[in-house]
Amino acid sequence: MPHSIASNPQPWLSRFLLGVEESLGWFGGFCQFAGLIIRESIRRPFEFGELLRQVVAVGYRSVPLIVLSGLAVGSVLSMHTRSTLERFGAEAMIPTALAFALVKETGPLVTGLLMAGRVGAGIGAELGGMRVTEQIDALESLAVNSVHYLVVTRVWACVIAAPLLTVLMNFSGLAGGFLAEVIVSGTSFTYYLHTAFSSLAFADYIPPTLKTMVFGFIIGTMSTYLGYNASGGAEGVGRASTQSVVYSSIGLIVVNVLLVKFIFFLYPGGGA
Amino acid sequence: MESKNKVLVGLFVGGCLVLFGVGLFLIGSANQLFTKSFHVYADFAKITGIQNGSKVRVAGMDAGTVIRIDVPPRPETKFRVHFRLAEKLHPIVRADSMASIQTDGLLGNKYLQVAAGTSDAPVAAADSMIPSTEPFDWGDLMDEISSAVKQVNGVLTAVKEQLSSTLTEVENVVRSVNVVVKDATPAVKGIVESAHKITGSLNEIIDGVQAGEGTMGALFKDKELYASVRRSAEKTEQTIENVREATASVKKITAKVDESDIVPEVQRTVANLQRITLQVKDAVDKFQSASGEGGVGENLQRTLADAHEAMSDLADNTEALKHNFFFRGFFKRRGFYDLGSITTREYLSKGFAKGFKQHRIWLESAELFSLDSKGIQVLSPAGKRRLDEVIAEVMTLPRNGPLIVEGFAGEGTDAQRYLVSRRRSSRVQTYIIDRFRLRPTYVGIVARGAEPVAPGSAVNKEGIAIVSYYKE
Repeated sequence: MPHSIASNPQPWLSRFLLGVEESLGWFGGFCQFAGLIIRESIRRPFEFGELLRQVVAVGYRSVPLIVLSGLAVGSVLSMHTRSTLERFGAEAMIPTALAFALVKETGPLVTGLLMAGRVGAGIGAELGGMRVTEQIDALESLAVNSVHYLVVTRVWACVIAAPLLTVLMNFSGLAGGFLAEVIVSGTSFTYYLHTAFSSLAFADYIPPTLKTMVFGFIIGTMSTYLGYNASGGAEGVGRASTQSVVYSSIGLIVVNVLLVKFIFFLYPGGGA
Repeated sequence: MESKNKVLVGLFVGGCLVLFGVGLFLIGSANQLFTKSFHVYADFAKITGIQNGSKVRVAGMDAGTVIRIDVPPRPETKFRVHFRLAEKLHPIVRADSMASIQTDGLLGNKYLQVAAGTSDAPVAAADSMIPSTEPFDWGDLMDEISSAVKQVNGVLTAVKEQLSSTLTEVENVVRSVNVVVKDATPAVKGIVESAHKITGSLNEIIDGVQAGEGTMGALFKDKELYASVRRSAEKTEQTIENVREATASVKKITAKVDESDIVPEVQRTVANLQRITLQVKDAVDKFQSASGEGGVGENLQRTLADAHEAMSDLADNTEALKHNFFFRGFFKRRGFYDLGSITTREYLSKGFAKGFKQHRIWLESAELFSLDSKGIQVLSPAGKRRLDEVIAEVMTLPRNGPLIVEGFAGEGTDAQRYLVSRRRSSRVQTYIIDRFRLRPTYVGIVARGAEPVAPGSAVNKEGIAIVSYYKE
């Protein structure tokens, strides 16, 4: 098959077709790897100890980043919303608009991107280093299922941590918005909280939060796949780390579009 | 190490789950999900964006959410919107509470508004229907406005056409009236002038007669003549008595005639005459209606022309009367027959107002006249005041002779001076006649052109002189 493509008389077309072939090969390997993860996830023994360790690494250690980012994003959103709504004399709508923006889209997406940056890079570098230093081979030689032990635990840690960090991001954002509002208008916390949640429905809150589990799965799977298949020494480890961030971010943004449409389909009046 | 991880994971997961639960609680509270509630419903032909989960407010207070919307099975039936209301608001939700669909702000979400009911109505029962009003829709309003504008446009077009037609008719009528008036004006003017002249002449005659002048005056003033007339009257009374006796005789004869067969014959003759009269009237009407152009307008013109002719004849007769043997003595003694037709030469002749004294007042043009916007000399307000003073002075004199306004002008050719002087005197004459209600025949004008006011005098030649002739 590769011979037939390479024998094409047009060099640019040959390179393009080779690129497509490699991309499809890479995506096929990724899908196969994802299937392997799912299959290994339901196989005993469950590695709870490693899972806990990964949840701490992925989730707990991301809390400062998420909280600070949430405060910043919330206050910035509040300021922008105020400058826009002030023109229409609708300052009272600021908490509602902020809650809608954070809970329905900004919170989940920013959380996913931050996780892709922090966790994806870490997992890609960690597994890539283990691959190039043959630690994974060593585990395999000791009859330890490396995918079950190293990959599945990290992917599940991402799936568990993503919605939790999203909740944290949402509340941090609302807190940041409240701080910005207090400084500008001196609004009360009770009024702010009541107004922020007055127009939200469960369909606006639960589906967008839970969709970040898919983001977690994409980040975990992508970064473990790239790290697990890293090659080329330290350079390969760096490449795996970088690609983990880039591909995870692109993947979750693209999948977010599909998820939003899917949630709209499930909850026509809200959600997403 | 593993126990530490467990603690950290517990802290992280637990904390985040608590936050998630707080979010759920706040949203549930905002949607009245954790309060005791009751269910009611309302029907709407249009739900304009209301959907499951939409807010419901009672008298403006958040009270619940829409829980279900039943789609109508047939076009003529309505949507049934089921909603849940907080139990604490149940006392003000009455059977006459009105449900309506509103918009939260200008661009906000749709929500269901339930108005508080009246105390007279019972509390709305759970699972009952409450009345509703259809939502206000800008689209419907615009459709109605569009329809109304079209109707108004149609009405305006019709009114415009009718107005145009009416204006055309009015224009035609005005044109016809204008023609009639134009045709009738000379005739009317002639009548008025003739009447004016006749009245003046009659006044003069009466004045003369009252003064005992002329033959008729002598007749009125003569005592012997009075006695003679009285005798004649007595004779007339006697004659009338004779006539009365004769009438009685005729009555007797008539009674005799009544008894005879002549009366029925006369009655028949009278009836025949009446019938003939009616036939003649019909014929005249038909003739008038069939005359076309010779309708009312032509008849009117003809009548006016006849009247004018009659008045002219009357004026001629009056004029002739003035020259008649009986009256001309009076006019000859005073020196003129008619002030309106007196010439400058007649005025300056020795015969004019012979035996009358003369009171003359000179007024310069500058103190009487000013130029109007067209450059024509008209009486100025100051000039009118000056004339008022002068005529008031003249009115203290006996008014048994004419009052003459002499006009003078000092510039231009003889013709121009004559015209200017005549115009000045005419303006003054018109003013004082109107102002002091004087008889037109009492006030005459004489255009003396460039003549000096008095030989050897140094007065300005631009002006007028008011001369009153009188006898003491």
